[in-house]
Amino acid sequence: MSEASSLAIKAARGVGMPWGIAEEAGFALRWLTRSGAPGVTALCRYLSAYQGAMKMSGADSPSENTCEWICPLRLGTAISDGGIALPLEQSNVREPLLLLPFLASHATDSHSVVLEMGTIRIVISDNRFSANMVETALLVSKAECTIDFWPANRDEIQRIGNRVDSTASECIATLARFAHNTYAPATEASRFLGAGDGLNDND
Amino acid sequence: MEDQPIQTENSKMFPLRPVAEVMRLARMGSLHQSRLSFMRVLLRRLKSNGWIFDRTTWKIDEKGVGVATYRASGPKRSYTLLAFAHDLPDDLRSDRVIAEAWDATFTLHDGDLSEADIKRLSTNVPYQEAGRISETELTLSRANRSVRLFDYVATCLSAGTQPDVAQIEPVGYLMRTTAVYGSGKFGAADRDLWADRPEFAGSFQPELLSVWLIRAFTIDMVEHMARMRAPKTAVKLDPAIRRRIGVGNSTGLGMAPFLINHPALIHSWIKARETALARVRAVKQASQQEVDLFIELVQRAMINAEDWHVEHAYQARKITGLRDDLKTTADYLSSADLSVAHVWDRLYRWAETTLGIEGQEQLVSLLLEPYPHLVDDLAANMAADEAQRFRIDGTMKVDVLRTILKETYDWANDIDYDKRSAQARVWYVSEEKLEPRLGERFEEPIADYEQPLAPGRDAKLALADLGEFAANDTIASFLMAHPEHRHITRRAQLVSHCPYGEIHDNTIAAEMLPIDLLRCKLSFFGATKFDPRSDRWLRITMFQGAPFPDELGELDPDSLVYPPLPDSEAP
Repeated sequence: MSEASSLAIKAARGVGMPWGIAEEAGFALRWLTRSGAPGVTALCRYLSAYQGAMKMSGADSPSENTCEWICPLRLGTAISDGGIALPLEQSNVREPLLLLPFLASHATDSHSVVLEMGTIRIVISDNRFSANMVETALLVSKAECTIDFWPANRDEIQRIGNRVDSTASECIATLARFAHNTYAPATEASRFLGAGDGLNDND
Repeated sequence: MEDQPIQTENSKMFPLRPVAEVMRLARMGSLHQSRLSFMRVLLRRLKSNGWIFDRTTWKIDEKGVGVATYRASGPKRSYTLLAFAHDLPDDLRSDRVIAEAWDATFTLHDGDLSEADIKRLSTNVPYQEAGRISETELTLSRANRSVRLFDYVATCLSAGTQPDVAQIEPVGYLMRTTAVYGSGKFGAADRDLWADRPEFAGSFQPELLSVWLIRAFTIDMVEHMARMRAPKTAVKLDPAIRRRIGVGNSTGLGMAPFLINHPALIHSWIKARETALARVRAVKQASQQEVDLFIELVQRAMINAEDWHVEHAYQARKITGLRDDLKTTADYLSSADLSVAHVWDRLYRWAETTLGIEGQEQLVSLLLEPYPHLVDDLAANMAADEAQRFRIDGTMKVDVLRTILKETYDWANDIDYDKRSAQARVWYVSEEKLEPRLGERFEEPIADYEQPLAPGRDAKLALADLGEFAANDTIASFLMAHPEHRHITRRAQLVSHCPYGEIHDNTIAAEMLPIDLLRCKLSFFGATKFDPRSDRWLRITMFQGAPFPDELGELDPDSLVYPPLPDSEAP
């Protein structure tokens, strides 16, 4: 899991996100994977869309005006930081599954957080979630989201068991491709200078 | 760990040394191993918990090719080192991470190994990064022979003679590891899977257990090769000579960013050592036995310094200074009254004004030696989970963050980052081997690939943008407007709780020496004989002097770290 988290950081950085946000992508992937959600797929889909939008706009980052969507990592960190207060209604959130780890920071012993997208309802506590649909149905590319508090004892939603993230291997390859953008191509000079040429190493 | 100054019965307070003094690269690059080093913590624990060791497989042929396994069995669990010995042509032997073949490759398996495990691992471990291990493996590593020493020792043994210690000491090992990967690397078990096992409490314990077992393998290999050459005359190594053979290690830049990327962990290491020093300085009256042991250890450290030979000018100068410092210390000890109150504090304060940094830090390590009851328990605090402080406190007010940044990074005030020399370097990851490297910002096209390893510069940039905000604004609003400062904000909040976690020097300056970072980390591992081969990679010796698995039950590992005095009887 630490490998996946580190890959997520590099992939998010690789499509152009600031390091601090990329670190949040790593945190989100770890949380989602541990909770049995298809986090790899969600992140892969989001970063692909993010990179596509950057290419179209030619900007440093897809602005909400040009792309007409809300970044789940930016929104999630703003909620987690307390910059955006709950409850909240927000349209056009891209890959809202990625919000879950950030909403979890607002769950307490007395209340959970609930995220609703149309007929999908997800209840989030500090370290897990439950939903009224199977995990793969939670992979929504863009949705109108309502986020609110939810009494902790009102746990009427059946917990779904952990499942293998079925499209994960393909998505990991995509994330690895994005991560590759953070690696500097080797030159003859860097090959020797960068790693430190020096005295004989075979004696 | 307590945050109060150390206090003894006479109420004299002994504060920890200030962060601004300790966390300078020049001092970090002068640290020596100590009682708190992880190799020593490991051996103390293995011994006190009665671990037993056996070589469960030895299928090595006359060319030195084959498989061997070494099992460590403890109170609840066992671990097995699996070693593959290869026939490596001399021209392929390289310690650089870009190498693709080695004299031997290893993995540490969780539990006993089955034939099926060995078969599975035999198609992966020899290929190292290009292979894949599983979550039943804890480490992956490889080693190359020291051409200098391996053949010499094999030749001596095959002729029925013992090698000359004078030939062994300057090298110190038969084989050197060139990487020891752990924690989730290449499919190995995540740290979460074993972090709560008591045998691995602290830092890097599975990696160092692997290395210690690898050391036993290197001896078995040289004795095996001697026997293959001359079955009738070959002898085994004398135990006292054998003990002077450790395991070498070549370490490059890959390790340097680790110190910057793990501030909570580094804080826990440094603070434990500083606390240990403060406790010893607070000792009111040293016993004659403690004084005698200290004086003996200074003599033995002098032998160690005499046997420490390097070609690199930077380290060579430091060793010359260390030899002088140890001689000055020995002279002082022979003339000073050591029965006075707070003798160690006096000695330390004398050293601060008399010795170089290298000598001061050697003295700190030596001062801890006579005091296991004051020092050893601190090892339990030398671990940290960086993730625990991951979440940013967005409710913090802008003026509070400003104060933290100004206070934590006050050392950066004197640095003009607009100067080329102050930003000359870029830490980046190479496409070729996915390893950290250090490049020249103004000479190579690498700035776009920069890793966030320059906290001083980033703190100043964040402070400039914080100027647009009111004192009462929240960090959450600042970060919504400036997501590019999220990384340094998280770091500053963390470091405000972990002050020894931040290096008070410019890590991208033209004159910065990565070997200072490497040495700091390696001293906490317990390494000795730091031998820089450039400003970016070095060799070290691990476990030199330590007992072997077959003698750990009888010997005290802590008493064997420094070389014996010439007239002492070997155990």
